[in-house]
Amino acid sequence: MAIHPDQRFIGGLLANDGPTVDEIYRKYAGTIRNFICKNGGSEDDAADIFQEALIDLYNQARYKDLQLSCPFEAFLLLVCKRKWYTIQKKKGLHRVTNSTEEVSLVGEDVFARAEQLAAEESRARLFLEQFARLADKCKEILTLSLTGEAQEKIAERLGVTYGYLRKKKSECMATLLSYIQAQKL
Amino acid sequence: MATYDNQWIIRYVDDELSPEELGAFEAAMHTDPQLAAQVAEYRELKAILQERLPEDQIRQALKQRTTQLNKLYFEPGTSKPATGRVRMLRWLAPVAAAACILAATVLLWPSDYNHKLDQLGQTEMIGVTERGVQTDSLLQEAAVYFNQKQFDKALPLLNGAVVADTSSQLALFYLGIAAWHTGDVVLARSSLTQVYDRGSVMKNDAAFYMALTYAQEKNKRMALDWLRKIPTMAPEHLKSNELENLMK
Repeated sequence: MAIHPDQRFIGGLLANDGPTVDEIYRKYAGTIRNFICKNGGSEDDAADIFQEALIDLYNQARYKDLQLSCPFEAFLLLVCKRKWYTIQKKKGLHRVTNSTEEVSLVGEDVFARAEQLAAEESRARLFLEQFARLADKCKEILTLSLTGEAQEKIAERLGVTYGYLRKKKSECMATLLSYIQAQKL
Repeated sequence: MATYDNQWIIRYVDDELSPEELGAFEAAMHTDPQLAAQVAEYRELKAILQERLPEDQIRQALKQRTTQLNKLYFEPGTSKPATGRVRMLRWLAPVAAAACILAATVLLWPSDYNHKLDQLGQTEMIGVTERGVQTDSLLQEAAVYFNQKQFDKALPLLNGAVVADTSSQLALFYLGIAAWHTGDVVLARSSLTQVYDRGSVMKNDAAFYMALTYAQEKNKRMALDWLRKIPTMAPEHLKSNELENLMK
């Protein structure tokens, strides 16, 4: 897969490069605003969707090595559309355009990648939202436990036994899983 | 899943089961797709938390930057759907306060601007006379909706015509215009750019509509770039001048 020259925008987001992020807004904010506002959204909606999409692209570049094989604008619009459709679906509103048009525009692989990105970031958001609901002690234990540091050292730092830490970590994770499972009901 | 709860799933993924427990758990996973899915979800949850719980200063800085840029490029606080008018730049406000007459002119300008853009963008879809070709029947059907300004209905038909005959410049051109009218600027630009690049008879028209898509976003530089692709001797140059004057 040939990497598109617009990959530089992804690099710019990854480095929080001021001129590149400014350029993204200058060139593409209008396109996204136009799409959202013509499809029942407000300026606020457009701003939120645009910002969230850029952070999603950052996350995917940081953790999933996102590589563009199409123009940045086309990919960004696909991601924003997915987000907008998801919001509309939650409100019980119908989709506004046919996805076959998007597929014929960018190709199936790009379309699939945008869908995958939206799904992964949506799940990550759900996980982190539910994590935020946990008690502070649980958050602290899980955050420390997932750093990769030896559990014995973490237990020492928290002033608890290794056995207690393992038990508590398991309980906190089980609670978190139950929160996540409840969201799907 | 009656036998294995979340604690079991966690202990399995974290390698905390005894050999006997492990064997029984894996056997259950083979016969219980829901259990297998829950194990996969827990693995995903762990991976996401490992990635994203540690503080990421660049992401935080990017969030702050985009929050600031949102204030510049969007109008936060506008809860009602936008009307599609061209926004007045924020920095015009103090200028307007200092010069009321100028402000009145500027405030009246956006809706007039959009109206004129609409006028410049109006076109009729030409009928297709050949018979018996699938592309042509799709185009004929699309033309009815297009000329009634029902662009959302014309769009899938035009898309079908492009898929059926990828060499049809006519279908691609009107697909671009219909997409522009429905707000799908990316599809519009992709279609119109192809028409322009392929050097069809509608090349100059395509350049003009490309300019319109940028003019609507008040992207004067890109709009002028496209207008300058239209030769001065071309019939489309008159409209091109009108658009350029409008943007001034």
